[in-house]
Amino acid sequence: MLNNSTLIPLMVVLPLIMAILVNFLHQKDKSVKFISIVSLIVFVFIPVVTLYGVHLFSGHLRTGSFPEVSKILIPEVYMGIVYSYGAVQKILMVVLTILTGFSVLAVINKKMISGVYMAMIFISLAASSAIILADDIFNFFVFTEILVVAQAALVIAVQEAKSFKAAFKYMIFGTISGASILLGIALLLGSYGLLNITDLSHAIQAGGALTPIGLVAVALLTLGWLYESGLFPFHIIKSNIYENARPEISALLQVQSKFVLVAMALILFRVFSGYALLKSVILGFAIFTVVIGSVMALQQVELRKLLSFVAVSQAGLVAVGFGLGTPFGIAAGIFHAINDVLSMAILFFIASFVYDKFKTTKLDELGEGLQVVPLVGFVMLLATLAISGVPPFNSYQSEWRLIQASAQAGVPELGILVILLSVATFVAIIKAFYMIFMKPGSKVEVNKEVRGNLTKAIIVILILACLLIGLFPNMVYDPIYNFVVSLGV
Amino acid sequence: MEPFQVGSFLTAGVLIVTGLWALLMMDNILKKIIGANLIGDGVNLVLITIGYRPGGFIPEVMHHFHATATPSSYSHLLEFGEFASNASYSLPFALVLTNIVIGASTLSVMLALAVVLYNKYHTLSVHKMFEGED
Amino acid sequence: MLDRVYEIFHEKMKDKGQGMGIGSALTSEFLMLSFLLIGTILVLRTANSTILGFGALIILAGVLFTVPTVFKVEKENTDSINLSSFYVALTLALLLIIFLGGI
Repeated sequence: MLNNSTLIPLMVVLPLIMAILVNFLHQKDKSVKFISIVSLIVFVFIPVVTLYGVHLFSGHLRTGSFPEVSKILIPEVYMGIVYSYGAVQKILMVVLTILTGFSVLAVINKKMISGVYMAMIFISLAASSAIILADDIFNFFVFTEILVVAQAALVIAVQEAKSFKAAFKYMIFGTISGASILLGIALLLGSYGLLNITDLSHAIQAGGALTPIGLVAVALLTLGWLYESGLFPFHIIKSNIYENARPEISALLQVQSKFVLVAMALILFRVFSGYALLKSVILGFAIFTVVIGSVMALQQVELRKLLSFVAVSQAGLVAVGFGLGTPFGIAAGIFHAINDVLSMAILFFIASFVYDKFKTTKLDELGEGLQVVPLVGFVMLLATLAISGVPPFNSYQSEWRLIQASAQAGVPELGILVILLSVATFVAIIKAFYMIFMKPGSKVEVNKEVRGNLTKAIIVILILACLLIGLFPNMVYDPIYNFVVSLGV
Repeated sequence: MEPFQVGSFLTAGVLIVTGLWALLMMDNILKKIIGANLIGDGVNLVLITIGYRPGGFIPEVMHHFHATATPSSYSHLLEFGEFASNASYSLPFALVLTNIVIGASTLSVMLALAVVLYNKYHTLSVHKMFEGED
Repeated sequence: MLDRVYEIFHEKMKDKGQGMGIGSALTSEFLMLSFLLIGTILVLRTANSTILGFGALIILAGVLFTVPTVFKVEKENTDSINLSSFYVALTLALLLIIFLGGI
């Protein structure tokens, strides 16, 4: 476990370097295109070849603390920033880099290429990688803030009044949540003198029951987590962001938020592992998000907005797995996050295709699409089945595990909730499918020039990936389960 | 001597509450942004205050670490235990420095957005900007 | 009331989409109510607190008296920044009360 792998920090450092590089190459589209594609291949390659392990920055080994002078409750502490790379991190990083690659290819294909835009995608990739890898709570905080700015910039790039407003709201609430995360970190630092998550969790366990200061820190960090993952009070802000970005970027944004949800929930659970109330609170917010998200999704008459609310409610479902608090539930939640980002990405790419082909995503105006683009319609039908948990697709495996986990945790009612949510998701998206592809009487003009071969290739690859995971779930699920058990949360 | 700086914590609390008030209650977009910044400042002050130790010394200004120190000033170097138990905690200062940088960049993006929104709507009132959605 | 449910929704959604719009509104209404019912059962069964149980029952009763709820939910979830601010402040207060007071 203690090989000081140099490849681990490269996952964060390389995207940052590339971001700076493509930023300087502004208006040199050919070189930006070349560099982006090459660096994306490298980004996908690094997580695959990296061995599990930890990286100690500047080589500071774990050393003895000085309990007699510093009142630190554990005998050994990490002196520097630590990145750790295990099974869950590997799977998340591979999915994240591949989906980022697809988004970047879609952006390049649309000739919207610009150095700054690409730089923002790379920065958001670097930030979310760092959030997934960081074992240091302050490093984690820094990258959440960077992620917020980068995501807001990606939305601002649409250059419409609505996207400016969405980005402004996102940043205003980002300031609140950032401040609350930092205040929580400050309180923990003041009480325990530690920033490393492993050490912090040991120290809190050694220290017994949480003090009131510790409890305030839990509340503040939970508020920050709700924002980063777009759960209940922040679901409108998050769905606004998804809705107002370009659809192929929304596909990327939802991956990032769901993986940040997973990473930060793991951090919360590791740090406050003995604190049962946190799990109940998370469960409460998760259920609320699921309910509101799915009800709002059913009401929408605009494809992108509908998908945004579906994405939010699915994030709630991931959080339900975490709220159960058992290793089985947490593993099922993480598994569902991975499955869901894949099928959600398909739907957002289809939205991107529909937007290019028909110049609108308003469901009332669309129709008869199946005669124009039969393949996309077929894949959308499959993706709808995939996201609402129909076998043999991947979400079936994770939702089934979620239901089983909730029965095992003694709350079978949650299993019914999960089933109801999949029904709601199915109804919402199949309505969109009907209105785009089958409804007679289309009011839109078909843009014949848009062939969208790349988008078609991407969605076919993704649906095949969904089918593959659905047929061989243990390939992904078993490493996750073993990882969660080894965390001992 | 008091165990920690009460006044500093109170100031931080006032800053945070003022910032939250401005952010949630005020209509002017610039006031909202200023409020957001005030919250960050309050949190920074909390972090700085954590580093304080009554009667302790600050590593950065101790005389025998000074550039012009003569060998004789090292003769009465403190024992590690004595130093560690009396030094003020300098990690929070590093954290604050990082947070100031992040806060500045967030602030600049928000101000740029405010400019763009003002040019679009010709008003600073958030209520007027955000009504008439759709 | 159940036999006139379509008319009620038709009346409420005059200015919006008809046909499928009404269908999805009805679906979400039923979903909302079943979610609420299950949530209440969950709280009553698992929570050890009398306050929480009574709270859940009161909320359920309140919602059942305001059927159809789906339009109210939609009204509370607009893009307005002020509404979001209110809910964020509410959540912060709620979190502090739950964790410090320990319901």
